[in-house]
Amino acid sequence: MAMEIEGWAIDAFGALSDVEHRGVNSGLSVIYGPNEAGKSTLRHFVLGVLFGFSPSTGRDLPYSPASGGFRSGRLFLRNDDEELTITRVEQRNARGGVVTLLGADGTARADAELAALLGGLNRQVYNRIFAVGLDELNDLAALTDGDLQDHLLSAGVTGAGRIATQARNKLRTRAEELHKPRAQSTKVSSLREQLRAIDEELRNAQRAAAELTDRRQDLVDSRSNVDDLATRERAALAKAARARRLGELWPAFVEAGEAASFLDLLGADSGALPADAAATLAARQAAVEAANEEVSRRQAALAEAETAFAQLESGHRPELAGLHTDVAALQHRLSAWAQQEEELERRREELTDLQRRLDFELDVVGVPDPAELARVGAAVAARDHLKSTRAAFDEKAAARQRAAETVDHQQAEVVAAEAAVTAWGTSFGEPAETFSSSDVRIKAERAAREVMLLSELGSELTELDSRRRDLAAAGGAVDRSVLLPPLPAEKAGVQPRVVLFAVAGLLLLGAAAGFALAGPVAGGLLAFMAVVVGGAGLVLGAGSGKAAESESREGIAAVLASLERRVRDRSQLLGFAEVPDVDEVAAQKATREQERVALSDLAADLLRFEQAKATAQANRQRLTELTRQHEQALTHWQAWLAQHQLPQVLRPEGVDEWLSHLDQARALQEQIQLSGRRERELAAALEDAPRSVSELVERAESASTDDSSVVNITRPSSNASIGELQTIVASVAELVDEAVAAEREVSRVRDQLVALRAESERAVDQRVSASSELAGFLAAAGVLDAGELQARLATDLRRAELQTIVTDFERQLQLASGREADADREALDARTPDEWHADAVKATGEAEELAAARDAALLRLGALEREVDAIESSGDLAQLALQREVLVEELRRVLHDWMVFHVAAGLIGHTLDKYLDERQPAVLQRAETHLATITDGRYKGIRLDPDATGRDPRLLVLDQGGSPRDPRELSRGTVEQVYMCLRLALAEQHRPSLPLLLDDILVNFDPARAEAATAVLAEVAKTRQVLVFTCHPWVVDIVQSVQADSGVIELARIA
Amino acid sequence: MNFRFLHAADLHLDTPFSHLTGVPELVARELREASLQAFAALIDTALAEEVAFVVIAGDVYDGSVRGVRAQLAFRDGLQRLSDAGIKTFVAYGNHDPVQEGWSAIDSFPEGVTIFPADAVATIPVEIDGLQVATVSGISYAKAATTDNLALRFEPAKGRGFHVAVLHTNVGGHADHAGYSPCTLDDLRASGHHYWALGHIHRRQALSGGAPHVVYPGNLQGRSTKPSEQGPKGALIVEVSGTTVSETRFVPLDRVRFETVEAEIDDRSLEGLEQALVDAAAEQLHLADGSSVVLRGVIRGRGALHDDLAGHDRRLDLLQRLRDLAPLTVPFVWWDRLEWHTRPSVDLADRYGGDDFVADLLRAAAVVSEGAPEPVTLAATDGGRRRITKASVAADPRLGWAPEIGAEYRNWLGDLVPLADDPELWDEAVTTALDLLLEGED
Repeated sequence: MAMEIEGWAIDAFGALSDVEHRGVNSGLSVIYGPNEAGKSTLRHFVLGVLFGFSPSTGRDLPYSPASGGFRSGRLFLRNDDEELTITRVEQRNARGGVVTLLGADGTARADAELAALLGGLNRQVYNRIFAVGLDELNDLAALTDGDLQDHLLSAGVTGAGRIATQARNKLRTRAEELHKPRAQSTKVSSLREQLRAIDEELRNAQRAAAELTDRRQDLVDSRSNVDDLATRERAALAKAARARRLGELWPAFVEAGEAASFLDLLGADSGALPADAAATLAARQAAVEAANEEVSRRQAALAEAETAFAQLESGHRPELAGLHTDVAALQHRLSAWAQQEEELERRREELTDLQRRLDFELDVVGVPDPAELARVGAAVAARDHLKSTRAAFDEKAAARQRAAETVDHQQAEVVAAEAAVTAWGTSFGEPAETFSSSDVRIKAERAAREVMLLSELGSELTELDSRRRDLAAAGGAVDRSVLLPPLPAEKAGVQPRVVLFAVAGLLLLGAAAGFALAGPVAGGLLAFMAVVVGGAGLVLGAGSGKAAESESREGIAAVLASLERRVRDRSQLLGFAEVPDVDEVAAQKATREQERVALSDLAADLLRFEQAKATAQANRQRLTELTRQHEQALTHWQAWLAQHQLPQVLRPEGVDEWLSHLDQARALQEQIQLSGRRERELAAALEDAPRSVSELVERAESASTDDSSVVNITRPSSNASIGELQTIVASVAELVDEAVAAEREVSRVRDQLVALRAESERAVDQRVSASSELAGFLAAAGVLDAGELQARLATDLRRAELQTIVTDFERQLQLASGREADADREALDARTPDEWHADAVKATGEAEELAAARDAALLRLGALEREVDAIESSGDLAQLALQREVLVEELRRVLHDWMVFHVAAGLIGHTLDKYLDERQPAVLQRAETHLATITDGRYKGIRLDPDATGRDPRLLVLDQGGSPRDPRELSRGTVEQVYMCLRLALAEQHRPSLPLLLDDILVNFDPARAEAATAVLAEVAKTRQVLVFTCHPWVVDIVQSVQADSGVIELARIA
Repeated sequence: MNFRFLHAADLHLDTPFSHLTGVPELVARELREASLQAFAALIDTALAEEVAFVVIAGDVYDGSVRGVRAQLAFRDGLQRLSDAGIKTFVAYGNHDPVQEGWSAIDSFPEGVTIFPADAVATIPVEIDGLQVATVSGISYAKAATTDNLALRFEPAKGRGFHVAVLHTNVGGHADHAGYSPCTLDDLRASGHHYWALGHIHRRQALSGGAPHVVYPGNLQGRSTKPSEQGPKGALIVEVSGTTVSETRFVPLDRVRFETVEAEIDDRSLEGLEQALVDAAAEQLHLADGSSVVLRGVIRGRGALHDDLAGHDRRLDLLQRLRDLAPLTVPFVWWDRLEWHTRPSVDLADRYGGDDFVADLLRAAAVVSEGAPEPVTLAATDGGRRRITKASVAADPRLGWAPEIGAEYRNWLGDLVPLADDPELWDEAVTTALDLLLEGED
């Protein structure tokens, strides 16, 4: 079965579109076209339709239609006798495009049929078997030995030899990286060591955990030991403590024994006295004593109070005390009178002040009589008129004042300008103020003209001097024409001539001005200068004209003579006796320049002086007029005052102030009237005060005086001041207050006396009661008196003390010894303190030894507890087990991968071996037939190197003598031919048979071998279709010469 | 009378987790603590539910690693139940037989019954002075107990609800060791109302009534094996008289093992990664506060297989998933990604070709099938027969399958990789194809 391409129809693919070709040969065909005719595009189109278009993702879009859109087209096939069509259309999301296989009748075939048609190959494998390109052949030249072998081997091993060996080696390498028996540095060996280590750790940890029971028993034993030691220590400590206790009890034991002996001597108690007999006796006796002392104290206080009362009662005056209210009322009234008296004084001072101020205002307004105030006030009723009159007067006065000030100011300016002018006098030797400003200005302008002439003269002198020096430097030659510059006529003549005419014009203008300003002298001088200069211009003009015509010495001499003459004339005009030199002219020019400046400044000062004087004169005239108007207004004012009978002191400028004073006077007059009335009211009110005080004094004297005493109080005079009256009343009030105080004391002492008498009586009663109780107590005790009772009480007290000593010892014994009290008592009776001390020392020593042993046992116990705790809380077992599981899993995975790589490598190796055994001999046999044909028998065999088995099989080429040759020893062309033969043989062996696509594979061959190779292709084409793509016409020729019926498909260059 | 009790089994306290590698410290710590935390949660649940009693059907510990910490945690937990007046019945199993191992516990708290190994013991349970149930049980004397202990149970007698506690493999479950094998009929014959079983780690009820025969599953999953995946915990059994009114599962695990799957078809790497991240988030949500250890299984055929061919790229994806997952409690830990993907090319098409890849595919199929005639890969995909050692030995060309040393076998036990493992073989063929197809590009 052989599939062939019958034709193609390209809808859109790269640069090709709407291209169709049918009738492609079954055998050998050449597809010829120049560069850019689309051969590669066509080859890719064929592959694309067969196996799917390359993905159109990424930057490069392989063979995307130049006109846009999707790639699409059809391939027309022959498969044995069946015609088929493959249609492929590029679509999004359809990998490789949508493909359809159609039968001749247009029915679609199953996808599997297409796969079967293509032998299950993909594009890559197809390329490796059925497509050979010039690129591959060219690449062979650049390969290393190993790569060349790979390529050759690959060419003959179904297109996968190189890949297969590489893949197998890669897998073996990977496997060996993971595990290699007896190797030490692989992943598995590392895991093995880790697992061995962790197993050991795990065993140790399990052993440690298993020992927990033993450690716990040790813990119990240790705790028991600690408890035993502690018990024995406590016993020793108790023994030592008892010995020390007996020693401490010994003194009390001895004292208690003595006390018991004394008690025996005192015998039994004589009678039963109350338990509190001694205290009761003392209390009764103290009560009697206290009652006696109270009675004495109360009686003394009573006597003292009665004496004081008698004295108080003899001196008190109730009538005087009865004035207390009246005195207070009068003192209150006196306070009010005092205030009125102060106001009266202020009123009088105020009246005096008001009268003085009224007098002042009357004097100011010019009305000596206050009675006139009302009339004058009526006369000035028309105040508006008064004010308007005053305003007009004020305006005139102000205008006059301003005019006066202007006159004063202007006069100052006149003085200043005059002073400036006067100062010039010294410069001119006569009073400058006599000059007029216009005269001086003309002088200044004349000086300016002279400065200008001097400047020109200086220039001419300099020029003349220069020419003369040139002549002298030339050796005194008289031929001036040689020395003078040969000026062209239009320059040498015209230029000086124009200058001279211009100067003459200016001088004429200056002359005109001189006549106008400086007078006929200056004007004449300037006119003369204009004539001279103008003449010079005419001469020069004439000279120039001549010079233009001829350059004779006479003409030039005349020009120089003219220059000298002009200098001489200008010197005379400027007042020089003879022609000056340049320095003199410069000095004269400087002097005249200074004069010109001075004259200009003076002219300005004079003009300012003249203007100031004229202005001052006008101002003075105006002041005079304003003064007259002001005086006229004043006269009119005075007439108006007389008309209205107003005081002449009233001035227009003081109208407001005068009116203010007039109003003030009238107000003061009203205040004086009001204050006078109040002053009179106050004086009347104060007249009752002396009388009221006199009445009080009389009443006080009357109440104070009795048979045994006389009281004298100063009586007030009729004009006594309120202050004096207050003093008198105060003395009366003092007497009254004393009487009131005495009255209160008498009452208080009387009440006290009554209370003291009652208390004295109660004290006497208590004394009687206490004495009765004492007597009753003694009788009850059966004694005659207190002395007998006290003797009995002393005996009982001693007995109780002794008994206390005995009892205290017993209590101390009980506290110290507790249940061992009886034993301790017997011990106290039996042994000595020294013996007990010895016992205590010995027992203490034993206790200390036991304590040390207990501490050591506790340390051991703590260590054991920690050990057990550590075991009990340990997570090591679980953690180690987890680590172990992790390692085991990793080991499993690594060994799994190792096994996978091994099996995969073995599978590839097995397939490769099988291929080499079963399929490669046929390929090599066919290839060496082709090679012999192409090389004309020079090389006749291709073999596997029998010495290079295993991982790296190698190919050898046999020459015509049968000697094996390494491909490296062959020429480039021969290697390419070996490669091509292998590829052709491989393709020939492949089932199904598919078209061979060869891309310019003959171009590196010499003509003979190219022809022979073409013959091989023709041979191959007998069993399958062979399509040769080329851009070389000679390839077409060779093919056609070798295979006359070969097809030629010519592609035109794409526009 | 109504009451409830708690049924748990296979606590495997403080025992390691299997099949995990490269876990960071936080995950390792949480895994280490998970079984003890789950047991503490069990005690909390018993107290909160106010159960009448608790039965634990064997494998409290994991045998050889019966750590002190686990024993003390167990004792403390039982003490809490005892303090609350809740009785506990414990039957030891093959992992913690009575005559093997050692005990760090001197005496159990009051109310705790450790069933003896020599005979079935029966203990009555009273509530308010009234006997409401009897609990019978027996422990393993040694690990290798192959006797049918179920036959030692006397027929249930007397009043109340009868519970039997036993660690056993009913019906010879293939994935678990055949300790104390028995049949469902053996259990039915005893007349107990409820067989509280242990040993099988997958939670299941072998009989939903007359009697109830129930495995509660283990308390805390320990690996990504199927039987260890999903929620783990204990059962609350509600009893009304002598009838089970309800059996309620209470998840108590702190770390949950789950498998998530994703297809690579038409997916980009980012799309696959996002699908796995989303699946992880969902598992974490479902775990409701517990952490999650995930095994990802990638299936399908597509270009992504070609792009990710080779261990390094796949490990990169695994590492990236680990980087994206939360690593605070509750955490998500990606344990591994298992690739069961196919290249983008249609291998069935290539199978019939005349090139090296086709030769290899046919060679692999021959080995796989142990038959000389090639079959299409599509057929082998669906029903490949297990490769046996015999088939490998029969073909001397399989000499590339290496042997693994005895020391490694000791460590790996049943986990030792074998060349005749179909999955391994499949992976090897895919690895070879990946390299060959990569070279074609």
